[in-house]
Formats: sequence, structure tokens, C-alpha cells
Amino acid sequence: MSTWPQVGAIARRSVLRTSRQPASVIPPLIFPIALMAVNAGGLRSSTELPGFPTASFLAFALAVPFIQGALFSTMNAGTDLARDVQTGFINRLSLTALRDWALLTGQLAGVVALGIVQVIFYLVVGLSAGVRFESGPAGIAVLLLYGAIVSLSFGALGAWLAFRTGSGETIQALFPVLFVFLFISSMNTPRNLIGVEWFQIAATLNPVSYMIECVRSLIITGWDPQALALGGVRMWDVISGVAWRTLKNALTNPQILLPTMLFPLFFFTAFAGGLSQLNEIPGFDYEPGYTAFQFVFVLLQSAAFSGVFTGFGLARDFEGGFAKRLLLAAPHRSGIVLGYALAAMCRWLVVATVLTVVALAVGMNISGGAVDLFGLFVLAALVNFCGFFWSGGIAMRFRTIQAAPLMQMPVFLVLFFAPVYVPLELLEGWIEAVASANPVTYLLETGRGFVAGDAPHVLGAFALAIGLGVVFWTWAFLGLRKAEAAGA
Amino acid sequence: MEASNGIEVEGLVREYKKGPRAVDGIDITVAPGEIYGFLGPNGAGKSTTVHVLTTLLPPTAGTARVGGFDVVKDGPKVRSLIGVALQEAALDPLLTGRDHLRLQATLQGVRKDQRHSRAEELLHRVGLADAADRKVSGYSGGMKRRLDLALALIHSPRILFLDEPTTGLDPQSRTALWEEVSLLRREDRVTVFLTTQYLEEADVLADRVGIIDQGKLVAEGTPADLKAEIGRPSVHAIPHREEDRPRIAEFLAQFGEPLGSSRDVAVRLRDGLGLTDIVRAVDQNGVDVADLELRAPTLDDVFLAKTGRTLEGATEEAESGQSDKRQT
Repeated sequence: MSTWPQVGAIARRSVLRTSRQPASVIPPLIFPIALMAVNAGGLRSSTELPGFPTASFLAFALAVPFIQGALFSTMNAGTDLARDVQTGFINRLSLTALRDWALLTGQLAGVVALGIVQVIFYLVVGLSAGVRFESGPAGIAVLLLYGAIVSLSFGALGAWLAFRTGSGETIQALFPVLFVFLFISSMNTPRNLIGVEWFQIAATLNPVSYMIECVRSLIITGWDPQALALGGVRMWDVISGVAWRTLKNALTNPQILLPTMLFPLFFFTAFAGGLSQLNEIPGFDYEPGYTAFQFVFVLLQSAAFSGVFTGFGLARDFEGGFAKRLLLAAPHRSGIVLGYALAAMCRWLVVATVLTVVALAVGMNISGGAVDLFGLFVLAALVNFCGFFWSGGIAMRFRTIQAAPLMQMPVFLVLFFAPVYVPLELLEGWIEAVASANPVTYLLETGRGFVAGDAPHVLGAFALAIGLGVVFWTWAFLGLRKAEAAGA
Repeated sequence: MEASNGIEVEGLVREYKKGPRAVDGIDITVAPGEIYGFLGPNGAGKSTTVHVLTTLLPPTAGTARVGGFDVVKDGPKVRSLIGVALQEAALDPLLTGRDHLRLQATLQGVRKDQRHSRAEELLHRVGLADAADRKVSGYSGGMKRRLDLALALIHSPRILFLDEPTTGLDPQSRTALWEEVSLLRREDRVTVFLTTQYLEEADVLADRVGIIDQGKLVAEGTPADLKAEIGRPSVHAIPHREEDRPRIAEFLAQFGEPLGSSRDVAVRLRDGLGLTDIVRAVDQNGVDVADLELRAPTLDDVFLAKTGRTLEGATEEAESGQSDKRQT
């Protein structure tokens, strides 16, 4: 049986099941509109604030239901799948020829269909209430597409939660948490007019603000080339400019380039060569061999340290005053941090390429396929981001290279408290306890599993890496705010 | 006032956590196309004011609008309008002059097809075309300042902030920079906010001058108006022997109010008196002076009249205060 009919069947079931449950259909349509009506009534006078972008609060508030509706998509997708897990329906499906990804795709297709219905409903309500869409019919088409994408994204989040928890109650309990994200955003006030500093920072860090503002700009601003230029092209200008300069320094100056290149090669040679006899220890059953076992560790280590070394550069730039030049020139300063992050990534890719070539040249075995190797490099890239955002956060708080030990020591320790030389099962005593609790252990085991072609806990490892990335991203951007407040 | 090119500051305050008020409630209005000289000794609050106006520092209180945009709420818009050359040139020693211009053009959003030609034009304009491909670590102080100015101009800003741009420059480089700033105002109608501790610089360049001391704006006006406010000239006598200083001071005091100058003995003359009156009296009384000079009022006199100190003395005071702090 072809896979696409399977996807269609599951999508049809998803839509039918949702449409036959008024409790799943009506709240996502009515509740966001009711909240919008309450806000539009109570906050109408906000439009008199100097700098408020429109005279119609309803037009301003209409963006919110689009995102709030997407939160319901999370709930619907998650609850439906969790119910299937709880009732054993998933087990029934797994006994058929249905493929895993077809189940997920079908389920999400149903969520997207409902998402589009929601968007149409909100558009009709808005137009009926007299809201004028400044971006015209093309903007409405973009809103429909955007609604579908947002429903898909949030639906995927709900599905992931369902598979992780298997409990509809747990997913329902998460609803208030997601709702908090909505309220701590630019939902009711433009970010530049928020008077309370902590709230403004929280709204700026909250991705929901940007989702709302994207919809809002199509409704109240229309196709604003300047805003698009400032928001997109200008941001890319800053990111690419900062990355170009950082890379030029890193790759054309031997004093910066050599340590970055030699550090991982030294570790690889010392560990893979000097400790290769560990492969003979009873219980050490890593099929691709000790060279591959160490390659994965050194690859992740080089990823983390390429990030940390880029953080050193950022600290030096603050200490020497060059960061002031960047802060003065960049319209959106988050682009500066992202520029360094991109440089850290490119810098690591150079190191990773050399390391991989050396490892293959000395006879490293790889049992995994191309997809496995791709997974390994994506995982390492996430570690690279974590390494940079951690050290960048320190750099922007202390603004001196003297903070370098603080940037690298924790990374060094967390890497070496993982099963570096032998698998976790062969560790004993306190180091085994520490390694078991160390998140890097899971990344390392998954990475080694990719090379062996049998990666354990893939989803968990990626979720962990992304979760750490989000935490360190927040840490770095709060550091940027500190640097801004201090005048760099 | 044309909102798109001027600067408006109202009740601006900037307080550091463990320090005094660096800026203490100043009001400034700079008209489009004007060169505004912000004069004061070290530590008076000039650089802090520039940092706030260029969005590098948030104000503690008050408002500031640059080019019609609020520096707190519309930071990105302000930054796209302004060019800034700060006191410390803050260049990357590993990059060349041309690399810097390329980076700055990218950051400022200069169109890709214009970046190269704009960089070349500015390199020629500031006289760095021959050194463009040398690393900045090999540049002299004057070359770094000129590159800094070129970087500030890369995106053709409407408002230019220059924070002590000639500090540490030789007289020739200083004059060249003054000419460049005058040209920018004359030909491009750029508004210039210039901080300086050099009286001559403010006198030569600025249409209007604001004098700041200990965070407060103590005087504001055109250099001519400010000097006219002081009105009367001063007489400065240099004694032959240091021990004669008190006697000469006592003698000159009968002709006007003594001025607190550390270099010579000086009095602001009373109305109706001139140099000939003093010379005659000196001859008649056998007072032994090495040099006697009549001076028209300067901006230093204005500073002295408003604060009770000379600008140089205030600078020395600020510097010794900083050194005391370092020692303790």
C-alpha cells in the first residue's frame, strides 16, 4: 500500500473526529474572539497613547486570535493523540502497515485543516466588524498560509507532548502555561510602549510577540517595505557583517586559527591513539571501534569549544570597545549576537571537516548511514550553539576577557564528566553517578549511536539539546540587555 | 523645528549606580544643520550625554529625541539616522581600513552595489586611500581618527556625533578635521553634535555652544553672545619674580575683579579702563612685570564666570580627582 492514502485516511479521521466533538471545535473559534471583544472594549483608550500604531484597537487586537487559535491546535493535536495512546488505538494502528511518519503527518494534516477553518472564521469576524486589511487580498492569502504553518508547528508540539506523556490530562494542564506566553507578549500593547522594564524584556524574549506582530503588521501596516527591510534584510546585514568580520579574524590570523584547529586534533590523537587498548576491556562492545568512539566525543567537544572561543572574541570586543561600534551601527542588536553565533558555527564546520577527514584517514569505521551522520552533525551544531550562547552570555555580563575561565571551565567539566573514555555501563562509583546525571552523556551516547547506526533516545537527545539551546539563548539575550544597560 | 534632523533634550538625567549624577537635568535643542559644541572639562558629563543621545546608554530620567525619534523607544530608527565617532576610536587591529569600511557599510545597511564606491570615496576624502589595505594596528593616532570619521559617515548620516574628535591629534590633523566637519555642514547640511574640551575648537567650529560642568548646563549660546555676556576685557600680568605675585595681584585689584588664573595674575577690567591706564600706573608705581597683556573675553572667561574655575583648572581638578580615586 502506498503511504499517501494512509496519510489521507488518518487526516480524514482527524478532521472527522474533531468535527464530531463540538467541545473541540467551538472553543477555538469562540474563545479567542470573545477575549478579543473584551480587550477591544476595555483597552480602546490605549489608541490615544502617543506612538500607538493604529486608531482602531480592534484592528490591533485581531492578530491575537490567530495565535491563540494555534494554541488550541496544540491542545487538540496533543489530546487526540494522547487519547489514542491511552485507549490503545495507537497499538491497533501499529499492527497495520501504517508507517510512523504517516500517522504523524495525517494527524497534523487534520490539525492544519482545522487551523485554516479557524483563520477563515477570524477573518470573517474581523471584516464584519469593519477592520480594514491594509495588506489587501494578498495579505489575506498570506494570513491563511501563516495560519496553516502556525497550526502545523503548534500541532507538532502537541503531538510531541502526547508521545512523551501519553496523557491527555497532562496536555490539558499545560494549557495555562502556554496561555502565560500569550499574555506576557505584545498582545495588548506595542513592545515599544510597554512601560514596565521587566515586562518589556520578557515580551521581547517571548517568541509569541513576534508571531503576533507579524500578523498585526499585515492587518494594520500592510506591505511596509521599510519595516520588512529593517526586520529582515537589515537583520541579515548585521548577522552577516558580524559573522564575516569574526570569521575573517579567526581564519586569517594563525594565533587564533591554530589553537582552534590543533586543540581537537590533539585530543583526538591522544585519546583515539593513546587509549585504543580500552577497546579490549570486557564489556566494551562499541562496534565501529575506539577511533569512532573518540571521534564523536572530540566532535562534540570541538563544537562546544568553537562556541566558547567565539565567546572569547565577543568578550575581547567589549573590553576593547569594538562592541560599542557594533551596538551603535546595528538597528536590531540581537543581530550582533546571532552574527557571532553564525561565526561560531562556520568556525566549527571548518574544524569538524578537518577532524572528520583526519578520522577517516586513520581508518575510522562508520556503521551508520548518511542520515545518521547528518543527525550527528546536527546534534553537534546544537551543542555549538549552546557553547556560544553560554559563553556569549558570560562575555556580555562581564565584558572582559578575564571572564574566559568562567566561560570555558564549566564546559570543560561538563564534557569530561560524561563517559569520555569508556561507555557509561563500564563506569563505576561517583563518576558513574555524575555521568548518569550529566545531560552531555545522553548527547554523547546518541552521537555514538549515530556512528554505530543504532542511535538510542534520539528524540530525547534532540529535545535536550534544543531545550539547552533555548535556555542558553535566553541567557545570552538577557546578557545583551545587561550590556546595553551598562552602555557596553 | 524640522523634526527629521535636529536634537531635542528635556530634563535629561543619567545616574550611575554607585556614582554621582553624570548628567543632571539638562535641556538642549540643536537645530537641523547646526554645529553644536558641547564644551566642558573632563568628567563634566559630555561623553555620558553623547552615549545617551546615541542610544548606547538609557537615561535615568528625562527625554531625548534625535532626528524626531525617541532614543529609548525608537533606538533602531535613531541608530539608522546618526553617525558616531566616539572618544576611543575602537577599531579592530586585525582588520584593514578597507575591511572596517566594508563591515560598517554592511552593518549600516548601505546598498551592496554602493558599498565599494562609498568606501573608496571616503578613503580618498579622509586621506587614507594609500593605507586602506594596511592593518589598523599599524595606523597612527591621527589615521585612526580619520578612519573613525569615515566610518561614521559611511551611510551618509543626517546627524553626526563627534566625541572629542581631536583629542591627541597634532595641529595639522586637527585643522584638517575641522575643515572636514565644516564642509559636512556646509555641503551636506549634516547636524553636528561635537563635544570638546578645547576652547578654540568650540570657538572655531560651533554655531552655538553649551557649557557643561558637573552634569549641569551652565551656559548656552553662540560663542559671540556668550563672550559679549562677559563684556569687559581682562588684563594678564606675568611677574618677573614669583615672589612679586602677591604684590602685583594687590596692585592690579584696584583696576577690576581678580580672576583665578594659575598661570598669571589677572583682573577683569572695570568699565572705561584700558591697557594704557594700566601701563601708565605700572610705570608710575615701579611695578616689575615681565609681560602685560590685554585679552578680549574667551570661552574660558565664560566658563570662569559661570563656574568660578578656568576650564584648564577644572580639567586638572577632574584628573587629580580621578588619580586620587585610583590611589585610594
